[in-house]
Amino acid sequence: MQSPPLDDRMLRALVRAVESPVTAPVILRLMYGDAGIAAMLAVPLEPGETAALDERPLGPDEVQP
Amino acid sequence: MITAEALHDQFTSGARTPSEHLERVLDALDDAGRRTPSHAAVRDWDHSGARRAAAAATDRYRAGASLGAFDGIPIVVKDEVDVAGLPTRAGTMYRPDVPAAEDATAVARLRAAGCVVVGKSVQHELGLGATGISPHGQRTPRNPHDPHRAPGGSSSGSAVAVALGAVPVAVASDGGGSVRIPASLCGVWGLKATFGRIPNTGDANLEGTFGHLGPIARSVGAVEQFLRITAGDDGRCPTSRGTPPLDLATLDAARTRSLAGLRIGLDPAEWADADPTIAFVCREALRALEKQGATVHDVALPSARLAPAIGFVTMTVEAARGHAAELAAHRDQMALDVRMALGIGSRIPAVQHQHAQVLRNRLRRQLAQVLGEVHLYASPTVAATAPIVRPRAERAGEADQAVTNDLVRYTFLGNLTGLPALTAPAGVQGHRMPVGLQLMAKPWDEATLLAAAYALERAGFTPPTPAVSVLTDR
Repeated sequence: MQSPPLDDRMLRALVRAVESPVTAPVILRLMYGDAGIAAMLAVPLEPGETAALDERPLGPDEVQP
Repeated sequence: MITAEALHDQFTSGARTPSEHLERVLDALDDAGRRTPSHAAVRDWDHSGARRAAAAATDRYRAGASLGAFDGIPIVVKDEVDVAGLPTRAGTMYRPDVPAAEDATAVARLRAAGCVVVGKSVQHELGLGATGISPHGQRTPRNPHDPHRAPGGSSSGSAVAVALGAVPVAVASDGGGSVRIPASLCGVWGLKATFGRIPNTGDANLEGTFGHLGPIARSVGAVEQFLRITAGDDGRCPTSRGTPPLDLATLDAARTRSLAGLRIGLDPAEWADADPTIAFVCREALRALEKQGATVHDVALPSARLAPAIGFVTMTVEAARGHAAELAAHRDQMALDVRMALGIGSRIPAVQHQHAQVLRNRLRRQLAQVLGEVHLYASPTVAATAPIVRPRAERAGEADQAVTNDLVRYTFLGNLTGLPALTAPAGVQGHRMPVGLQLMAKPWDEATLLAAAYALERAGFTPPTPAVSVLTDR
């Protein structure tokens, strides 16, 4: 569920909280929900699945003809 | 409103000179900035440099020695991109007023082709936002189609200057949709070429695995010219090193290429997330391509729904690393939305960042499979109408995550995979706001994107007339 828009005072408090190592984990959980990150982190990885070794885009050889 | 091609024809015929036209452009942009609400697209001007460049172009046309299609064409350049003699502040209010020593590679190449640099365009602070809402002393350039709405970002001023009709093409950059989002919301063309195609030299904000320089333009021809002029390894940009050269023969044929046999894929599950009126307008644009011989096919890209979250994690971590010193020194002078993004990026655990990178690779594999079945992958460019500018957002920054989610819903896919992506003006919604259709192609195949774009342009898909225009085709 999406959090409602924040007023200035609440937003400033949240920004200060995310900048503190003590309170940051709580704020991250809140923001993670809103940005879909929590759902992304919950996606299971498959055995042997890795990050790309190259930051370049897909090469033509990776696209099947 | 006038295109680069029409201007070049007028300069060639002598109907008007680059110098005469530049004065109209300067007046028009100044007028846009004085309006309430403001459409101020330019932050720093180079009146004298622009007048010198326009005079030189005027002399060349008179001597029959034009440098080509962009000779004498006025442009604006996104603030974060270096222009010699003007400060590079990347949308911040705290960076010093120190002029850049040299042009970014893309700017230097555009100048060598005769472009007249009018000034630096307003942008979302540090490129870290999709709304283009600029707090502090910098005014948000409102959307020319509705002054109550945001222009989109982060290349807000570049898109507004083009949509107003003041310039036919502008330099922009794209780290999560920052060319395509404002181009879409303002109803003009935008291209993010393949990662590395256009060197990023001179745009320090584009370090990392996401950044692309690219054009926002009123016509497909200007997009193509921009690509021809700026593409190619400059020997200084790590992401451009060893990249293949443009296939000029294929590019030459793009304007008249038949769409017969062109297969376009769309994932219905992805389209279901867009505002229904936006999806309808985009589907109608695809029908126009079908009438010219293309075929549209359902495809499945199940990880695409994760792209915004993967992108958000990756981008905020890369930005937090790149801007750590600035955050420490100037946090109180930053917009709250930017400060929040950098704060989150500083705190994301490495294991979560790595999880996102594994899923990014899964997304790349899935898209590779899809592009083995079709030539182009289509989606709306954004999922919702341009947001209303709320007064408190203009004071402190727009931090409503729902707004950002809708704007980056489809664009991060291009940055995560590095594949070329173009936004086309697909039409307008019921309340006259523009809608963009996004097309993505195989690596290095910008020519097929341009072929589809030319086909749309032939079918009448051109930038809609905005509520506010400052320079008409007279």
